[in-house]
Amino acid sequence: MIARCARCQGTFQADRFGVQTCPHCGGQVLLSDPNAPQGAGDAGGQAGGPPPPSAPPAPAPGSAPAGGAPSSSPPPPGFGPPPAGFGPPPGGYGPSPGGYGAPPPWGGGGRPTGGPGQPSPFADRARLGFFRAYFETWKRAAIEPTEFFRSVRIDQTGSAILFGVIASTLGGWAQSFWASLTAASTRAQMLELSSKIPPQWAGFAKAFSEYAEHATSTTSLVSQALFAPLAAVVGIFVSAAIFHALLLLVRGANRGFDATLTVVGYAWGISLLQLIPECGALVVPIWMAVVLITGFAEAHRCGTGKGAAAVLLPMALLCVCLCGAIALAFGASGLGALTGQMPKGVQL
Amino acid sequence: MIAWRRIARFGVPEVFALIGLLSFAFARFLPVLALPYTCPMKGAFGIPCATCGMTHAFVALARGDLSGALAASPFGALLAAAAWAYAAADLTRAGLDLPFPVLDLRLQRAVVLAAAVALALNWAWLLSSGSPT
Repeated sequence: MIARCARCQGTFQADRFGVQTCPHCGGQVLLSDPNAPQGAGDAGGQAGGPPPPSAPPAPAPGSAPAGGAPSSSPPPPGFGPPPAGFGPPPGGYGPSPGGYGAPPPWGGGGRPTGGPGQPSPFADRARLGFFRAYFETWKRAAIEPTEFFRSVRIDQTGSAILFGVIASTLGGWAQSFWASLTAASTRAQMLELSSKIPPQWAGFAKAFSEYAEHATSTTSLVSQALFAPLAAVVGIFVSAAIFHALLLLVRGANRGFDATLTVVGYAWGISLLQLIPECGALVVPIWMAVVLITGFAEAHRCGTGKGAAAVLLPMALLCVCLCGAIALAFGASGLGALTGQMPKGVQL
Repeated sequence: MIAWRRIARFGVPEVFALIGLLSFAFARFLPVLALPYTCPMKGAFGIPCATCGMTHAFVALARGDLSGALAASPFGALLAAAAWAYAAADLTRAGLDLPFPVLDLRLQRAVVLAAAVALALNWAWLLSSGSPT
């Protein structure tokens, strides 16, 4: 049978009744036996709710969602709605008393929803057409992230990942192309810039110009273009894992990893702006950070503060590290001036 | 604390397993250390960042040099070992269609917190040892 978590609204396969752990968010879900006597527990895995007016028949394995997700067959008569506040009414149930979101557009057509909200236009690309669906989704995720991530389904991670991979790949290819056109002038600028860096930072200047030289070489640019799709897939999953870990730390991961992966996938769509030469690559990280913060706040229902903490914490830590490094470096140089030697590992 | 669940044979856990496997293949067979990349923080100030030495640790461990991996970055060696062990275990699990261990939220937080503390300790170790890589 399929059960739905009352916490993250994700669905999962359950092979028994009783207390279960949601595989999406790790929350505890109580699945009561519908054939058990009244008062033994509540239906649908939602503790604290009223019992249904009449017990439904035991669901067939893999067909009927125990937690209230739509099934391929009409719901049994007399099976009342779940208590308010636990997401959308599953297709086929009676009118909800309040607290439910809009019903999914396919009603009780047989697909488990796994959560409230509607599919993104890109997830509905078979009906809308690929390009229309893609640009509609891009527009909504980039310009109306609050509304988009509040309503988007989190159980269609495949579409979100594909969306992000396409944007990142196209953006990566465009960046390689623009970089190949401006490689010579970039190297000249880097050389000029490194010559202006103070002599005590000669190591950094050397590393900087070497890196610029390598990054704009033909081999490097071709490799970047070839590996762009793979880098996008790995980047989306790894960054989603890091953001989810940070959301766990700030207690903001309310709807499981699928919600984080969905937000990261659609936010990576902003990479498409790299098609714009020069300024595109500068705008992308800032715009993406805004979309990620809003996306986490809405998709995890955790508030902007926790969303911002998850996104900005690595940057804040980096700043602290840099400040610490500067303090250490200058402290060490002062110490070195006094003692006449540098501490181990410090090269100025 | 840990619940064993039957999940789809190929899902998000398997993608992470493949990424772990890919990191092993890159570290073992590609000349990743030949790339002329210097950590900006180390380049500018001569002080390693918290993640310095991880590439060296992955490469050393992929070539069976445990002491070299630990010397480059203890956290990197731990991460590489964990990632590859997870990849092997999860792909075996998926192949045999066995249930997947799902950690509850408290345990997930504890793991993340332990990783953060390990990263901080790793940075302290790198600072004190002067980052050999």
